[in-house]
Amino acid sequence: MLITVVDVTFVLAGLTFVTIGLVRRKSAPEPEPALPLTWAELSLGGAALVAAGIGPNILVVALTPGMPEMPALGKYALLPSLALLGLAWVAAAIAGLRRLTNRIWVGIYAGAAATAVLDVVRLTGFSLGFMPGNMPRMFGVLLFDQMAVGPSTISDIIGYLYHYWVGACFGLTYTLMVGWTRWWGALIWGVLIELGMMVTPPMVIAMDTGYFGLKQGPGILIVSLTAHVAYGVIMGLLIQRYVRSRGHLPGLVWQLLWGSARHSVLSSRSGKVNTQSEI
Amino acid sequence: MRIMSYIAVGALVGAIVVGTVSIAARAARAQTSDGNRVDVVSSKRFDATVKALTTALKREGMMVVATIDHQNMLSMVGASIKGSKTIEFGKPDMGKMLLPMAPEVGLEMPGKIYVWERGDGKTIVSYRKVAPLYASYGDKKIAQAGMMMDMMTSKLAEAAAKR
Repeated sequence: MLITVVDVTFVLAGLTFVTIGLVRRKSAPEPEPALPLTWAELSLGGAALVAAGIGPNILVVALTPGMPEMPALGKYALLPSLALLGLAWVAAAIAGLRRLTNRIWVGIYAGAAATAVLDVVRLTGFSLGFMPGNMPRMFGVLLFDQMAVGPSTISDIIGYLYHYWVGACFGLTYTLMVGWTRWWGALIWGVLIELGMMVTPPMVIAMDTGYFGLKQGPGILIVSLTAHVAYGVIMGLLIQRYVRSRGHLPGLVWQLLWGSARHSVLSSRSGKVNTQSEI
Repeated sequence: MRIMSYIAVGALVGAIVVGTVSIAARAARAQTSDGNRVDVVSSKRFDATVKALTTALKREGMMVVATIDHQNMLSMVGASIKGSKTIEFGKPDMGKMLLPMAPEVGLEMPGKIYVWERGDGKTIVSYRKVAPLYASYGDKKIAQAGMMMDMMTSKLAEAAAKR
């Protein structure tokens, strides 16, 4: 059977979360203004960002010739990254960093839930023969190193969990980097993810689709682009509703560094004035 | 004299009938499509044939080294094919005996049997005779091992295919 019970279950669960999110907040509230970044928030946000980067990239690494395989990367990179993210989240909650904790949960939630919408398009394309494979099932087989026997229910579940985690990581990266945006901000992010996917080893080499999938006709690009656009739009709608504050990371970091530099210049100047007055 | 000729004709007809039936039965069980390939038509369904094969392997003291489930594997890439599994098997003792002597024989190991469903719904147990390959190494012991391997594979295929 091309579409399995696990496929359908994950999609239905994800769509339920999307519906709940959109129904609970029918319109997006006005975001709070960007508050200054602290060094603690920057450090914990940086740790969460590293963790979010590991999830999707282990697949790219595993399917790059000469690199370690998925079982090893899953054990020694993916699991530690989950622990790192958990620690950063708990530390942020204890330190009362509301903005960071909000961005972490919304990023994970919006990214994972929107993956279900991506899957509706992806699975439809796969059933019609446009896609080269059912990727989450392949992820499971790769993680369990059981290519010879093919997928099992357990490998399908683990593959789907990984697939949704990758979606969550992209959502997390977006909310940590950009914060609150209108829905179309995440749409641009979805298109960028699509572009990245279409030129990296998992698709180009492992699935032998060539750059932008064009080696096997335009079907892959059309289905995949539509899926990522749908992912971006839904993720954007959820982010617009649930991320509380404005403020993108580069701007906040710049403000923090500039503020620290100004503070140190001012304090050294006042120090000189004090010394002169003492003399 | 007349009675003797009746007996002789009867025996001849009987022999022809028995021979024909035997040849026909053999043809159903083993057809050599090319020089070395042997196809044995199973009297069982696909899953039952695979099960019978793995049971026979264990009974003969063989180890299943790997099972390649082509049908399940290809379902991930959207291909819907009939049952087809490759069972790779071997006996560690054989490797222990041959590989220190001639490491290059590892190319022919382990043995494999392919079970697949034909278009007409019949399950086929296929394998290739490896004796010529083993003999090509120019060593008597290795050649003997190849012949033993063929005998064993034939026995396994028959066990998997029989009712």
